[in-house]
Amino acid sequence: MRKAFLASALLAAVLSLASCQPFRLDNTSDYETVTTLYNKTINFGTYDTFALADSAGLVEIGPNTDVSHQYDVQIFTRIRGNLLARGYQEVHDPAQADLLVLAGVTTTDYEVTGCYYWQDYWCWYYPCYPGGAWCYPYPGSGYNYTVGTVVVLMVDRATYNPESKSASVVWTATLGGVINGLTSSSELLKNIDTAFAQSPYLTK
Amino acid sequence: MITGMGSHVLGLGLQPLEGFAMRILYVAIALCLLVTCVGSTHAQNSQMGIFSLNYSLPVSDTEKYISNDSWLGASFEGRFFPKSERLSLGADFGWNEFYNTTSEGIDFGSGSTGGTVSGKQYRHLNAFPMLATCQYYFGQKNAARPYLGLGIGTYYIRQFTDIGLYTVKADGWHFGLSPEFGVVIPTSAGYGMQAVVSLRYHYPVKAGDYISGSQSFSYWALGVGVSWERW
Repeated sequence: MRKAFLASALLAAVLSLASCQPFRLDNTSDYETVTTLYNKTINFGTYDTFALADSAGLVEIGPNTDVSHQYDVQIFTRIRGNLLARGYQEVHDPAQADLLVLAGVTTTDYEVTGCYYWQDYWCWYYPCYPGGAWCYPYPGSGYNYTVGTVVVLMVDRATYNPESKSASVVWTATLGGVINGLTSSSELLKNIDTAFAQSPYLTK
Repeated sequence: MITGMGSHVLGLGLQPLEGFAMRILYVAIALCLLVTCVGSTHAQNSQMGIFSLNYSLPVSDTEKYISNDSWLGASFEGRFFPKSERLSLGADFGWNEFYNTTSEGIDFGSGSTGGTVSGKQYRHLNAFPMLATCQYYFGQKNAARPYLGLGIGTYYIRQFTDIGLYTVKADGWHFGLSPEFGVVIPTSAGYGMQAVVSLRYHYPVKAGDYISGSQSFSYWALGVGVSWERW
């Protein structure tokens, strides 16, 4: 019986170590992501031209209306530059374009109330105590953050259905991250380049 | 499963074991007790308990996901010798952990939709082999005894990826095989204590629904440990 207890204790000790993980991401730029989606059945080499819907700037998506538009021109310029570099030709009349390229922006504010879990600080296993988590509402420990997302859509104009007023989206890029006072246009523009870099099929 | 901003946002580096992993712990402890009981019913036979720390090298799908080697790993194995000192049967429970930070893109997709997500990621993988084992020993007792072994059983593998504001979690059970080569080395410590060095290839067969689909997550584990043997 003593051996059984010893063996169990050893195993429990080993497995409980599995909950120990080193710290991962530690500043807001680490939270930036670039996600691209595309229709795999489409040969993007069959498209020749594109039109950029840039006259009204970035479309505001969602309830937030205080979205900054200070980087709109730079964003569209960078998208245009990438498409031209891939061999597509820009036309200014959308009716003549194979691809319509739209871009929008959305921001969402998050508020986290001050409620920390004791076991995160004091225990390396779960649950810390019988009964599960202990929540300690520490006054003033809440924080706010804003998530900004730029969305780029590429629409196949030939699929436009006037009755349903819909068309097929063949490629999207979603550039997301936490916005703070240090968020710069260079990070945003770099992420636009990344979206194209991770889409090698987007080429003439 | 994708969850939102986790506790790491608060600057915490620790994640609790979740319900399913806790069940693994309980099952492993129960199996451990069972093996001990089985061993005690063969009290007239020789028995051996081994505790090893593992250095692991990822290969195949594991290496594609996490290329770093790892010093985080351990295993506990009980063996008994039913017929002779040449052959042992046993049960092995282990844990190996891999992690790294990377900005490599991850391809994903389903049906006609393909995609890539990139950004700074923390990738993390825990593998829990639970194997029935069999070993054949060469050499003479009271001398270094090389052995060949084979483990067959199940692997519980838990993967999570922190990317941007999200954590993508997945886990799965795999049938698996684990060929092994090792050496049991006598010591002068008494109490039947010996040193054990083993090299094991863990091969959980492809299964699960991980971030890049069905995966195998194989790895090499070099174990250095101690054994207690009772003849």
